[in-house]
Amino acid sequence: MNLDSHIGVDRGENFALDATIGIEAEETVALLGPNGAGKSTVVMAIAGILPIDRGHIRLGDHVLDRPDASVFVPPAQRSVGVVFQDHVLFPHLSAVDNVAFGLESAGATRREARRVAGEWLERVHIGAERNSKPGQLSGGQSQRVALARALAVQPDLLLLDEPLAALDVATRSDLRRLLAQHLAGFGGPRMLITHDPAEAFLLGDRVVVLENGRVTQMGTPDEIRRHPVTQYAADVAGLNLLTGTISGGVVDVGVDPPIHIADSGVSGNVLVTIHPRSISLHREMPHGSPRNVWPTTVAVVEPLGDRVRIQLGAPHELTVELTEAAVRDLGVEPGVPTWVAIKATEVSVQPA
Amino acid sequence: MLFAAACASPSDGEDVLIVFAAASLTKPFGEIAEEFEAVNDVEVVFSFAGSSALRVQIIEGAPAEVYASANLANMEAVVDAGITHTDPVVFVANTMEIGVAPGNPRGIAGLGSLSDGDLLVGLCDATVPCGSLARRVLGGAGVVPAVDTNEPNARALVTKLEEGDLDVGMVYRSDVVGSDLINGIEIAAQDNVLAAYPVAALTASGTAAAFVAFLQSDEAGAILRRHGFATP
Amino acid sequence: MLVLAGLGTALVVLPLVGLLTRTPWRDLANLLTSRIVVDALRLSLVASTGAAALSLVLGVPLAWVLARSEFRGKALLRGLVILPMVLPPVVGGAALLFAFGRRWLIGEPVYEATGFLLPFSMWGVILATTYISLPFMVLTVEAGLRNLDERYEAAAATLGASRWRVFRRITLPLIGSSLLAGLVLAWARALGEFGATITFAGNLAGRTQTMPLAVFLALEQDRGAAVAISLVLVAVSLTVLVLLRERWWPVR
Repeated sequence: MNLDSHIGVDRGENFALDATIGIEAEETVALLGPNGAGKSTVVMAIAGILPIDRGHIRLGDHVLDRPDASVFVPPAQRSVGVVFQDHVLFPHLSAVDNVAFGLESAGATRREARRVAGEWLERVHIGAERNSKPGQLSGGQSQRVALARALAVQPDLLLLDEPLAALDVATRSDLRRLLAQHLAGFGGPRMLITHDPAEAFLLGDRVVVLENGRVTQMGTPDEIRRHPVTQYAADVAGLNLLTGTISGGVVDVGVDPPIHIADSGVSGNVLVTIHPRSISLHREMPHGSPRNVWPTTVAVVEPLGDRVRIQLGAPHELTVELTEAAVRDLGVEPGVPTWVAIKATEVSVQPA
Repeated sequence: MLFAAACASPSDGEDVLIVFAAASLTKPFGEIAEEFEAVNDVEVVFSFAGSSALRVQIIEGAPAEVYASANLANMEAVVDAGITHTDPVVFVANTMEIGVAPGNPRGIAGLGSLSDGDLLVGLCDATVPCGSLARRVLGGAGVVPAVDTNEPNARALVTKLEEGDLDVGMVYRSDVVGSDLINGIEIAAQDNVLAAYPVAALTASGTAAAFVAFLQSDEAGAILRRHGFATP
Repeated sequence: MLVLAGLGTALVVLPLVGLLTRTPWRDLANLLTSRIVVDALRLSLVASTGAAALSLVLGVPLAWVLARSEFRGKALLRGLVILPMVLPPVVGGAALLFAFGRRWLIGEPVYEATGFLLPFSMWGVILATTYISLPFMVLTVEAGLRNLDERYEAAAATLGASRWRVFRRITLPLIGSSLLAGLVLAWARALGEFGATITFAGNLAGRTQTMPLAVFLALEQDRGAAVAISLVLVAVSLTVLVLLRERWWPVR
């Protein structure tokens, strides 16, 4: 079962969504875009909360919405599981009853629904809170209940709208692991809406970039990261991503030299991100404060708007973004040797 | 509503005379006021309501200058409260009739019909004059009425008869004469009662006294008789 | 601020004090146990409770339509629903007669066919008081529905719940406090209703004479009785309003 959609929605005079998005079974697509790009509209359209104005939405053999053929399947008959932004747990029902709600709607007896709901709560490691009301749960706990609620009805398609937003860092990495595990165990198409590129890269098999109601790019996380085609993609998604193990403020990323970081509150396996604009290039070996300095060569030079993206060679194959003036001054061209300098404070790490 | 009427400012600086009068006097008093205003430089402002409601308002300090009541008891209460300025005089009287739909479709014969449980029967509430008079008439004739509603005043009862919401009711003869939509069945004189309408001035104003006097004139008498009242 | 609050309090308290100073305490027991007062109180409680229940049954769907759907003439419908709040109740009562009286629109065919007549019956009292108190229910519940985050209902729908199940299991519980507020307002308005009731349902002790009618007519003759009946009305309503507020309508 796959998702095949072309979603056209007019909202007022200033905003129109026109996005073609396909997702295969057992594939996770991360829909990445800035606020106001239309990401939530995509969720509402696929879930059936908002009918589309043009195009079609098809899930497997079922046409869910197709205005030109006057087909519209209401949300209750769609079998689309949604984990809403801010969870939207029913405040008057306990955690277990929140999860049981969908099972009962499908015809299970109250007793059976609560039994199965309890199992789902165990599966997201929150069985102890089964009788708590949403008001008594933390953000992370609520998100687990919301995930269990969406999965318990065994939908054909899973939509997750900003599932990790508004959580603190430690909770977020816990939940991301849980999410990765449950996404992998879900057999249908999966869509993850996010404005956080790290989340998109870590959880998405494919990334679709949505800007101002249009899909501007789609590809594997690596393609998006290395070759962003718009300024937005370059700004937020064109990041240098390294994984490694941290010890004593130094991250071993498998190749020398290791990366020095300023933040020492993290340990174990980490994800290192370095923004291309926070890397500087020098003709000579720089002196002074930067902790991370090594020589390399320029591999590729490609202009993007009024800036230039430069791919560096070994050892770390980073991407650097410079102004055209800086490129001229430095005489950057493919094959030219250069020195890399990165301040420890510009390197961010998070638990992988 | 009452005080809005009472405080209504005269249109062109002429004097205003505030008259509180029983609702049954609404039509003749309108005409009488026109005649009175023609010869006196004054604007007559009325507050029409049930006599007892007016009594309560007057005792509570409403700025009435003349009070015309549909029975003696209410006037006595006002006199006892020391509010009257002249002694009350009875200027007109009313009698009771049986009010029915035009053409009397239900074939109502007399007072006895009011005890018919199949008919929708209305009286005025016993607390207002038309209600107490009706009960005196019925009591005198030995009829126990099968009442469906005790209306708060004569006007409300007449309206329900006019609209056909009631089949029969005890109303003033003046109400029957004043309405195109109901007919009256006369009650034999020995069974009927006479309702005396007293009037009194409540202030020393000359206009108030003049109005009270005018009500007893032949001119006013003719108007009142035309509306079904009896003059002494 | 506090001064104005004080003035506001004075405005609601002073008339009550006025009532108490005119109360015939010595005759009170006799007056209150008189047939008329007991009948009127019973009828008032039955009618206002009936009106509140009927307002709930008719008002919640109306509020739902007004809050959750778009159609031409919606503004007009809302205006019509609110009308009884603005209209003098006596006019409302007359209008009811023109619709349900035995010579009119609905009333005539029903009366011809069954002999059933709303005016001059307790059902007439309930209909008249419902007509007057319905807008209080509709407006309160509509506001509650508008304040409710629609995503709760959307979430329930994505979980496969039918519209009725969403309404019953999600919408209704979540607007519970609005429902209760609407019930209390409708009940209170119905309890004090006078004009529409006396115009439409007439006035007969034991059948259609509610407390306000009894007070009005007693005022014509016996001031003491009127004050005594008013006092009962005040006591009953205050008790119910305070109890509801304390127990079932917790301050949030």
